[in-house]
Amino acid sequence: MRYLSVLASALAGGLFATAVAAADPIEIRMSWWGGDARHKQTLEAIRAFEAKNPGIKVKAEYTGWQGHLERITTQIAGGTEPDLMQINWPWLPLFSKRGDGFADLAQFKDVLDLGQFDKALLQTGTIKGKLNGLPVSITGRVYMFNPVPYQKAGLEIPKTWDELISAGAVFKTKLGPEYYPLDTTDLNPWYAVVHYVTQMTGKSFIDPESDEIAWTKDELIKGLEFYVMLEDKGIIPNYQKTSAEGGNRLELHQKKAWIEGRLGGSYEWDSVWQKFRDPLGQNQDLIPVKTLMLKGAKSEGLLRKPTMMFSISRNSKHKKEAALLLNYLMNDPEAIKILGDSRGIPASKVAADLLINQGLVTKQVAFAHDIVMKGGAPQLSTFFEHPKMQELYRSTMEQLSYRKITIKQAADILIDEGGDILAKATR
Amino acid sequence: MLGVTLRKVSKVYANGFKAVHEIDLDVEDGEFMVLIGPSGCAKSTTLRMVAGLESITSGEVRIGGRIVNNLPPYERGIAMVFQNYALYPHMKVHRNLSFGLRLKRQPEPVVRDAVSEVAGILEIEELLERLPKQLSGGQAQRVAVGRALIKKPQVFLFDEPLSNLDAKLRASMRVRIIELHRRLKADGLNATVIYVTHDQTEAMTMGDRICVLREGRVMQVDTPDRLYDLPANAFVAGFLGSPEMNLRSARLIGHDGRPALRVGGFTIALPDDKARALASRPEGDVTLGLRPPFIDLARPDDAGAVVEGNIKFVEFMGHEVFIYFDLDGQEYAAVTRMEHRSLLKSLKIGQRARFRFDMERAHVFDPVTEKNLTLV
Amino acid sequence: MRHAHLASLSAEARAEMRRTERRFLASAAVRYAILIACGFAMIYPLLWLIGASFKTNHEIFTEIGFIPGSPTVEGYIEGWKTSTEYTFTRFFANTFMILIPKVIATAFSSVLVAYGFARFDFPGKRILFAILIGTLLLPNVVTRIPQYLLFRELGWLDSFLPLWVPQMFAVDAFFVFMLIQFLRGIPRDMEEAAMIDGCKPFQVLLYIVIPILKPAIISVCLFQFMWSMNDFLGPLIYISSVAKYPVALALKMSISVTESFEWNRILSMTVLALVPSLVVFFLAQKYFIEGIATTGLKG
Repeated sequence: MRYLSVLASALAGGLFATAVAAADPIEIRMSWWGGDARHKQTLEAIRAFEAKNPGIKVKAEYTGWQGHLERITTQIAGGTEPDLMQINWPWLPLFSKRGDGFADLAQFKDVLDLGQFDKALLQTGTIKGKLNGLPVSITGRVYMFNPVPYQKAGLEIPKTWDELISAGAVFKTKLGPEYYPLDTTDLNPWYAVVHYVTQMTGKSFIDPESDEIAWTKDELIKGLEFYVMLEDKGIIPNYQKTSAEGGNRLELHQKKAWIEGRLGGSYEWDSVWQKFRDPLGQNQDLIPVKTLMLKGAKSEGLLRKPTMMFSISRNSKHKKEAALLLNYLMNDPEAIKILGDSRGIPASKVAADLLINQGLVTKQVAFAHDIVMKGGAPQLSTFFEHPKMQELYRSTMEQLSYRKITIKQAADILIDEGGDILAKATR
Repeated sequence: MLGVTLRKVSKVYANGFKAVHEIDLDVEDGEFMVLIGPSGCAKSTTLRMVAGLESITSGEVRIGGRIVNNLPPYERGIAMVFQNYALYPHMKVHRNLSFGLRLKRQPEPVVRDAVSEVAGILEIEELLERLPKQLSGGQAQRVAVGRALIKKPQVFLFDEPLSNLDAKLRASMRVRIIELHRRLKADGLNATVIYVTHDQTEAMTMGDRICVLREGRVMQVDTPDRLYDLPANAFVAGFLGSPEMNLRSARLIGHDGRPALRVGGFTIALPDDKARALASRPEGDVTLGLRPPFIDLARPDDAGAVVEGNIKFVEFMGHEVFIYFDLDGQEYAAVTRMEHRSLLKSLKIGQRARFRFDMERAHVFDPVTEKNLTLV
Repeated sequence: MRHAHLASLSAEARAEMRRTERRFLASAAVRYAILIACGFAMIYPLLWLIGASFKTNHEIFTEIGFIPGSPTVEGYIEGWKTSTEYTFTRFFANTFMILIPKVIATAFSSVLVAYGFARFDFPGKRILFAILIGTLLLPNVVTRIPQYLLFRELGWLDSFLPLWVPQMFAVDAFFVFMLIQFLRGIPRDMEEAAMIDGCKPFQVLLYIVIPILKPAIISVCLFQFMWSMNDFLGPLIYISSVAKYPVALALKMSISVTESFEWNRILSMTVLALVPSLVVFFLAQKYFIEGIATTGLKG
């Protein structure tokens, strides 16, 4: 043991010595996950930042999505996390229950222009009054339709729930039993329920202030009945159908039925438009539409959330430099142009305006984003997407779709077990 | 003195089991000593203690006068042949033979000469390029012997080397090993051998002397013929010799003023020397030991040591005949020669017949200590 | 010969023999058909992977068959370049930099420890062996953070040392156990013969035990090679510089939740990432099978 600590201090001494020797330019570390485009554009933006700030070197530590949570968890546990890191919104409470898990970004007002960000939006990254994460972009669920199957059925793209529901029968008679006006992938059955009940009640499933379930059992039952009706009338494929076609969690762009135009549309995050549009090829299209409305709706009931945050390590020795880099990436026109929409449509006003005005964002994405930004959306609780809650939504909807449980049982499970999960997570 | 000496050697295992009880044994230089005994008698354990493969709990082992208790095997000047041959499976025969020499960094020409010499002696020249798995049992055992021979050790240790071979091969290997021993001695080499076996034919034919062990104790050490003729106790008497010695209870009585035996209602006089040896012993139960060849059908005119018993079973073995008979509830075996054919024809199972005991060759043992009371 | 024999039989007997032969052929045909079908089903994903790596992105999800309609190596060329500052050349080099010392250290330490447990008696052997086997049951998650903290204290983060050094201490109890089982099946006579021939314990290990263990050691190396080739979490956690990423990490670099990505590049690189394991496996196949087959059997 003693030997170990001697060895450790010897090594640490060695490291320290080299750090001092190379101390001239400050090195800050930045991590993110993403795909090819995000990697390329972020690296380019970092290089531009270094050119502007010769005293700062940025070490990029980036990975794919898989395992990034494990990596960041271990790093934070060891106190070796990067100075600036991309953090998924639902992870925020995992790392900072009391708001002290990350540096409070409000301290860096002199270098970080928070004025570009909507007050309500900043609230989503704030825990116990401390700004732990700066929202990078906002996303929301939007209905997107492929016009081709609708044209074939002699229909217009639906504007209301009633039009969508009546399309079910027409699809079946005119196109065949394999055609559906709307798809349900993974959590979409639950989001359909959420959308319906939120329009009906104007309330979010989980209250963002108290982090408790806000809906009554009766309200939830109405939503579940609505979902079962969609299945029964053939508006959406049920789980049995989707598992036969490769599983319920197979993403839309990998589904044969989607690529071949047998699915009329889907309810998706606006940011994934490109990903699902690509496989449709030249002969088909994907059109985002204004949200479908219920008669007598209290709200548009949009599902809107910040996607990811940037947080600064509380252990960082160069917090100010990290904030400088963050400000550059979010608010500097040079970086904005390089980064484009590689992290979605930026939450920063200057960035969003610049991208949209200069046509750096695809028209449809800009349009979809506009729907999300302008529509009414009750604030979401950070726990709405807690991994355990997601698992609960998923398994309950699956059991209901297979009719293993009744609607009432499903409502009991969601409210009781959901309440337990929330109680544990917020304790 | 060269050779091997064991003084009060004991072995106690970690679980507290005492396998070897203070053994004393002297193996002289150039002697062929056989260790024999029934399974569990610790003959292999004793050998392995000499080899250094098993630690010695107490006592001392000397090889060539040197105490070797704490020496590793390779410093004891021994070579060993194992029951399973224990050839190195990944080495060709010539490598197997030369492994020990190469470890000692002997120069290549020396190694090559030694290999070809040993291969010549054991007639394995044509096997040198083979791997052990390409050898028959007999060939493998010859290589194993060669691997011991090449080291020119002070002492050869054999651990049941022939028990995996079939009967015919065993007989020829037996002869080979004896010849090898003679040849080494003729060449003036210290060919001391300790040879463990459970086969009494091997023991009787190969050993200069035999050490009979039982449950970790030495029963007797002597030359084969003396062990046969003069067993020190009932165990050795019964263990060596085939067919097995008759060991039956009898009563020592006084008759006409000198000791005699009472067997199944018959009184049998003892020869003078045996009578003298038993003179001081009070009357009581003893064990009579007499080998079957020394019991024969009595001629009509025979008198003296003659008994009458019921014939139970007769086995014709060709040149001799085994007769099993019952004498007052105890079964005896007799061997008679075929000259008695005329007599034999009249023998019927269940019939009474007269048998003559050759008391000159008889032994009387203490029924409790099993000691031979008639050894003079 | 056989025909002459047939001729001597009655017509009825001949008919019966032919029926038997037909039945045998029919059952063989059925058996082979089932085996080939199962075999094909097992290998199909691999064939699909290889086929798809030569397809265009659009074709990958629309065409079920594995033969590309218009074969292209674009996936390989573009995939090799990656979206990072480095190419796959760097990532493959890193992989071997991690793998080779790791495999050697594993084989060396596992053999040493297994030899100790299988052939020597020492105080506390039973308890130590129980602990060793106990580590087999220990989930990795439990040790991840303490290990991370240890390596942080040693200053080894973002280097290959956390991936190499533990292997020098026989941390893979599975391998030690496998070798012990193998050793238990081998009679000790050969080692005793070697001791009498003049070997010290370490020489017995070197000259006798290791050659006899060769098939098992090759199995250990192969397992470690293939597992390490696929190890994702280890490098993910300990290595933060992209310059030091191995292939397993680099392969997943392009896979994101929201972006669309070039499947053919990922598939092409996946195919290439399979090559080292396949090559090593086929080279050592003979010993590998032997090593698995004889573990735990009497020698």
